[in-house]
Amino acid sequence: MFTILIIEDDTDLSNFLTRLLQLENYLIFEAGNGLEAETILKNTQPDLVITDIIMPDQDGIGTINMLRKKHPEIKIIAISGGGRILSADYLEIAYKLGAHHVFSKPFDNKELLVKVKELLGQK
Amino acid sequence: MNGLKILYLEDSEFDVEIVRYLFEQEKIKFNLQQVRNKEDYLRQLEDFKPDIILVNFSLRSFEGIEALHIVREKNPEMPVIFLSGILGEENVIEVLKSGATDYVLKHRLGRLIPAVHRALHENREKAKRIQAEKLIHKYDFIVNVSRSMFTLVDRQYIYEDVNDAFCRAHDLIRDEIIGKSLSKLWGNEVFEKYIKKNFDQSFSDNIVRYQAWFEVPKYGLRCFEVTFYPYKELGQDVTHTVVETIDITDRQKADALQKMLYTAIEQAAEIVCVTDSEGIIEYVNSAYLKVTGYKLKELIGKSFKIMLTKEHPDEFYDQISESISRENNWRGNMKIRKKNGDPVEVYSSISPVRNSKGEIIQHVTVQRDITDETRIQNYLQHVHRMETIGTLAGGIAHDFNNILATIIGHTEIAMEDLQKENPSFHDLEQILKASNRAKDLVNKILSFNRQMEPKIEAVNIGSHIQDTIRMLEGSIPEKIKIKTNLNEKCPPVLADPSHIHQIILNICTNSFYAMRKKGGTLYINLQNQQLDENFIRIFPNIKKGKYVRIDFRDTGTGMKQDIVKGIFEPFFTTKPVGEGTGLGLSVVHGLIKNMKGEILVESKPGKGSTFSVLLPVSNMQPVRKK
Repeated sequence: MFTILIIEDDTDLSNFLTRLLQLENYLIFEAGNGLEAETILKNTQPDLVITDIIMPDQDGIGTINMLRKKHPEIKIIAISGGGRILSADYLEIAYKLGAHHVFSKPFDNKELLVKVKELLGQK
Repeated sequence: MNGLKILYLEDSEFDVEIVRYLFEQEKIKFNLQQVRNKEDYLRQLEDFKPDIILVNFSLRSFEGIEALHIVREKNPEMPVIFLSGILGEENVIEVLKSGATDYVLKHRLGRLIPAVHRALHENREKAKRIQAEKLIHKYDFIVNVSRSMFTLVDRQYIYEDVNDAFCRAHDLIRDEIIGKSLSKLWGNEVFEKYIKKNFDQSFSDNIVRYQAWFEVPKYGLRCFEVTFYPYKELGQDVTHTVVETIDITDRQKADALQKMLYTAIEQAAEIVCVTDSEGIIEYVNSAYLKVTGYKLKELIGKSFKIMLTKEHPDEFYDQISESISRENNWRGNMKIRKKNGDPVEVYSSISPVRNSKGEIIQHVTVQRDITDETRIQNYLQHVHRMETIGTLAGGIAHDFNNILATIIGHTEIAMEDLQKENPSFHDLEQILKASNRAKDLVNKILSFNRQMEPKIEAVNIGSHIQDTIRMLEGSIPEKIKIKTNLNEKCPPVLADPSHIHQIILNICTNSFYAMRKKGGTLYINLQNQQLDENFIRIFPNIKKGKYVRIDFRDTGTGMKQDIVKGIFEPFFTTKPVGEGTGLGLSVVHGLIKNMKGEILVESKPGKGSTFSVLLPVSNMQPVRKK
């Protein structure tokens, strides 16, 4: 069973992602921000992290940075709502920093699931 | 001698008759009054007011000497002639010493008339002398109390006289000057070079006048007006020159100040108008004429009311008058009328000019044309509003997308579980459809927002031109055609793509407007261009090197030189009011300048215009357009 860590500050959205992925039999951990994620990572090693890019406390970018440094084997999917900060294209930066894929919200459920399967090496 | 009044102190009638006879013989008009005693004598002195007094020395009742003293007290000049019998020498001396004018022996009365003549003559002479002395005293005072300097110079160029002011200014006393020659006092060189010719001119009976700055020991460097007046002694030709020197430094300074103020006002960009207390225009500066379109003679003497517009109610003008009389100033925005009737928005400052009694004698109005300022301010407010909306939109979009993702996500999950035949499936489909529309809406807002931020990348000009034309082709009239000649080998330009789009769009719009009546063709040409020293010399802000050149040539109405000069100025437009802001080409100009490029215009009325845009090339690879 694969473990997925979801880092997302919007509760409703986090709940939805959990439900969607649980239906596919993944074990889900939820964190509301980068700091909570680090706490969880002390005790658990997920196979995949899905993280929002712009969050209070620790930007998703910082989280991605931290993951690549400390847990380089974990796959990362970044998702972005766009809009709040105008001047940088965060998605491009996320790619450059090492997210394996980037989705922008709202995304298509099927596409997300396909990508998750791909990154986890599932057929 | 008309009516010579003779007072004769004599008791002998016989003697009186003789004297009368003598005067009659001389055919002298006279009026002889005889008195015999002191009282009559005194009375007649008062009433009769004699011109001459004859006194019988030997009168017993009233001593002649006493009579003499009496008259001498009041009238020291009165001729008094003593008549007597034989006088001892002592008596004669006494008589003359006590002030008698003359004495005549009674047995030699032949001497009387001559004595009278001589006495009167001497008196007259004395009176003349006194008169002359009074006159001299008067003019001496006037000349020496004056603050202007006066000198009297003879034909040998020697000072004959100078006034006190002259002495004071040169720190000399009169004795040091009078009798000396000018060349001795001022130096031969100075005299020969500067002074002599003026004297010679005036000796030839000319008035010479000039103004000059020079130093005087007492007051330093001052400005003087010097006048040489030729002087002729009575009955002669020019014998002297009178030189008058007036200190006009204050006047010069006042003139210089006035000139400076006048120049300042005349060349000011602000418009200045001065009216009298009734509002009749007395003065306007050149800026006033330029802004309002009037000529000077159309304004001077007219009421300022011709400048007012109906756009302000009467209360507005009333409140201005009140402010002026109460606080000596009114400041604020108002509209005034140009000659052609158009309104001009001005920021005005109006102040009264008061006389020493405090009454208002004039009004001074200084105004600044703020039409452009107002437009720019409105434009900036507009931009600011848009930016605010953009920021808001950006902020909302993020959360909105989160919510949409949740809605869409759960809906999709629910749809997975249902069969297509289930009625709820259809409802869920509608939810999905609506949510996707919401997603597109948010993206549109976000993309609009992103346009506000310049985003530099390597732009392929050719493809941008093609995109823009595709966009325009749908909306231009049939009679206008576009032909392009785009060199594919042109390297990219480092720029914000939306700026390039704006430049192409605005220039094309301008060309289409020029061809709107008769139609025509817009030729767009894209080539490489190397800029060398010759070009740089004319356009110093441009660097040498590789550029792309885009030529936009239209076959429209063309422009006259004076229009070409102004087309890149903000708000410059030949379009009627309401059509166009006049900002299009100025935006183009600004954008090109920011990219360190250049834009050139060539135009002939009736033939068309060519806009050539030069942009420096970049070494980067162009971003592939999505």
